[in-house]
Amino acid sequence: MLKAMEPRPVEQPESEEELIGRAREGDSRAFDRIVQTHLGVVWRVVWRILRHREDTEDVVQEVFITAYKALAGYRGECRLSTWLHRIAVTRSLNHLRSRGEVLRRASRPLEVATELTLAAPDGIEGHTPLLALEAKELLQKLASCLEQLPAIWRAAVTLRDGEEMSYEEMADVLGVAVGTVRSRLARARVALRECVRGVSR
Amino acid sequence: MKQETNPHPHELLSAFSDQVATPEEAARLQEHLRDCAECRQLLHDLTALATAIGEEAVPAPPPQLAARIRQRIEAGSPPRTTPMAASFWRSPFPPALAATLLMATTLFLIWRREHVVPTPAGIQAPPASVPVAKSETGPVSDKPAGPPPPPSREKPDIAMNEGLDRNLENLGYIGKGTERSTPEEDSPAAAGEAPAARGFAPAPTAARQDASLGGHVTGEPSPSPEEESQSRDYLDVITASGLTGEAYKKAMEKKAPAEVPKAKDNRTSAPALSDGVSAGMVEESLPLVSAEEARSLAYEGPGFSATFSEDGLVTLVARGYACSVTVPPSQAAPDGARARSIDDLAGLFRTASSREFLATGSTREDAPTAKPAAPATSNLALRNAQGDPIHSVPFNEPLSQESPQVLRTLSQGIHSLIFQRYRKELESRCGPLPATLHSAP
Repeated sequence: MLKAMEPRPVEQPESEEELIGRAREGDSRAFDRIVQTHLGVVWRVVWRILRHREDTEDVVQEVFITAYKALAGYRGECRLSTWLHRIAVTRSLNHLRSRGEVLRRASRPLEVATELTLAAPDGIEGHTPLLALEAKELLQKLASCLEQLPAIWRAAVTLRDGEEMSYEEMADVLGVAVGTVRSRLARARVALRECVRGVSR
Repeated sequence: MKQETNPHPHELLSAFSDQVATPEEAARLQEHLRDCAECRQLLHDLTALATAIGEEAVPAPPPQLAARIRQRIEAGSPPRTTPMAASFWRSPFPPALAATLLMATTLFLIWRREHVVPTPAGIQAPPASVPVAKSETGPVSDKPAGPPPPPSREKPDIAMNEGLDRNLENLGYIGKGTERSTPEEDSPAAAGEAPAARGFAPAPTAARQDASLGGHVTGEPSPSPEEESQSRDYLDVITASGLTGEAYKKAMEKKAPAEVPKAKDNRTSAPALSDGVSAGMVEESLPLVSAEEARSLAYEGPGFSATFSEDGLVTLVARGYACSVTVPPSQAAPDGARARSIDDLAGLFRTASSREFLATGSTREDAPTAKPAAPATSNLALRNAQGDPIHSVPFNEPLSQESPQVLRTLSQGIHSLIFQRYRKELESRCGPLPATLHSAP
């Protein structure tokens, strides 16, 4: 509190630690700053998993409200962003689960990943080398296939390739071992690729 | 082992494309790639896909989102360090008001005791179906990913980590780093440990005393039957996390619900509170629960979330609606019949402290293979004044006849508190409850 009274150079933002400390004491403005800092990333992570604007809005709100309530338990053992990602991913997956998305499919062993019955996007018959696809076309097919991917695979793939997280960070966020991240990513990617190529069916 | 059935090293390829394969793996892969055109193509495709995913456009968040989050937070979700209760007593209400409230309540209690109007024993049960429009509370659960899991996993898979969300929330995202809390952390065995480990601050002295009198010390997972009665004393005090020592025990004995079934096993009974004392003994008003001692019960369901704090703060959050009000604090159940229903905060906490509730949700299978298909849509968590979980139960709504009776009682009670008992308070403070919410339960 004392610190807050002191004049502070405008250009020198408070450290995250400071903000967390103040937010923990109930300073909602400090938490607001945290929200503003992390909103963009949390939004992206949630959207990439949900791929639905309104749902993302709801879940992002829940993420920050959960974080605010749980801030007392955050002991700085991981970066705040990682902690928020963790909440974001969990909330997103639970949101989908509540809507009946079958996460269970992701438990298929790698061997059958290619048999995953993702419908190939329209207009793809047989194997199409990705090389042969126009960039725009590839993105369209990718979007369609990502939507069909089991959510926890989608989460893995987008955290890695969209958010460029390290395997270790992903393990932390997803609550799994690094080895699991590795195998899950492989399964997800192979299934995604087969879908984009139009292999399934 | 994957190589046994799959000739193509997909996992290795994927890791290699991320540049995280070990040198040995990379060498092995190179060798394979030399002879395998299919994998060369795959490697290329994986890289192309990764790039495409990175380039995919993500819509921008709506500009007013941060403000909406702020509003919802300000509308009644104080951070857990300053327990709801504490902040309630601390900031907006001066002590004089608190004293006035106390006096008013006391007068009310006296009046009430003299004007007990019998009411139907049960609470009007809300319709059973709850639209599963929205629930963020159901824990993620799934079978283990991948091929037959190795005997020991370093960490539970999020997919199989039943109740991760719950854990994150109830454990306040306590810093476990990479060691994610396991479902067992919510189980009574762990809960039995929790009080001592997490320091249920208000009653440590009493706890120690009881322990030294012969109860077992910290939450041993499986007390023998003869130990159980001793440990129960200790646990009563601990779990109560409110009043200390004898005073509390007496109070608890009085407010124990009738006919509490015996817990299924010692493990599950460990954190139990009430001891099946006849509710007919209830005869006095309980002392008001002070802010420092107030536990909270958080319900999160498909339609709404509600948090009840023992000292009278009720918070309701639903889509487009968030409201926090204070209601008259706890009253003792006036008679045995009504002790089984929930028509005020005291009733709610009485049920939430019951052995029945504390033993619920503890039979979760340890083996991930035995997992039922049903995900949890809802969660109920009893927390102490510090916000640490005492017990947390994920469950599915709508509840069925197979659901534990105590969950049905609590669920009905919560709905009835929100939609009937405290509706006036909520609506006079925050406007009418959303229309969608009316039909929700």
